[in-house]
Amino acid sequence: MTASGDLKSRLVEAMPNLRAFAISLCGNADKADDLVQETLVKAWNKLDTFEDGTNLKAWLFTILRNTYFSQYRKRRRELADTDGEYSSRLSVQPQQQGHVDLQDVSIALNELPDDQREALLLVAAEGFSYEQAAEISECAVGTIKSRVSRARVRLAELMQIDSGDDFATERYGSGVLVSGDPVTRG
Amino acid sequence: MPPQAVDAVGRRLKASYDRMLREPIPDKLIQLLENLERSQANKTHSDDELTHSDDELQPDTHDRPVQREE
Repeated sequence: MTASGDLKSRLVEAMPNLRAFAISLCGNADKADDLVQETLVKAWNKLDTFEDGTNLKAWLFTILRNTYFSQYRKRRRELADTDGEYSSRLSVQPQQQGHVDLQDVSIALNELPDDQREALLLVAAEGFSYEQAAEISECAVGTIKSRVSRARVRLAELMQIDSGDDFATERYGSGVLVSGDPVTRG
Repeated sequence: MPPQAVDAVGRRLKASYDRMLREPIPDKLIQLLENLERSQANKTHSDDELTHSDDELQPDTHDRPVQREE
């Protein structure tokens, strides 16, 4: 590859997306940066398998998610407390702050099963088509569609966005994150 | 779940994600790319000195063929 300068600039261009995807998958910025580093090294070492003219970002995302699912997800499960920590943050947050901010999307996101979170991020956040997402995740388009739709519903439940709440983004000041018992304030 | 609620989730997710996209890239990631580039340049310049630099770039060795002695 002679145009490594050009390639580098394309990699740099893709970096914010890789990072945002990694952070959202891992739920942890430090781990996400490790994951992005590992992705870049792997990508660099097998650049010759990248077909010019195809989507570089999709190719990189494929490497990143494969690395995540083969290594990082396991590590995450090994940290036994992780889930408990997120749940406790979930249940404590509304009382403490009395409001829901954008940060809570990522907290709620962590409550989703890995495959649903991945599908939702690829399609709804990153803007890949269902077809591209299916290729990246190596599964059927129908599977991606159903994961995305289940993820959306679950997230709406977790964030307790009400029916007819067209202005949820403007109204989150009064929202409560966790479904279940309403938060009572003295 | 009503479609409006699901749309609202999508908007919040996108807003949160876009905010992350605007964060500066950590220096260590830029540094890593520069190191990769530099080692590739070295490799191109000295073709017969095969790849001790590759070892640094290879975090996992499991997919390298292992030669077994009998």
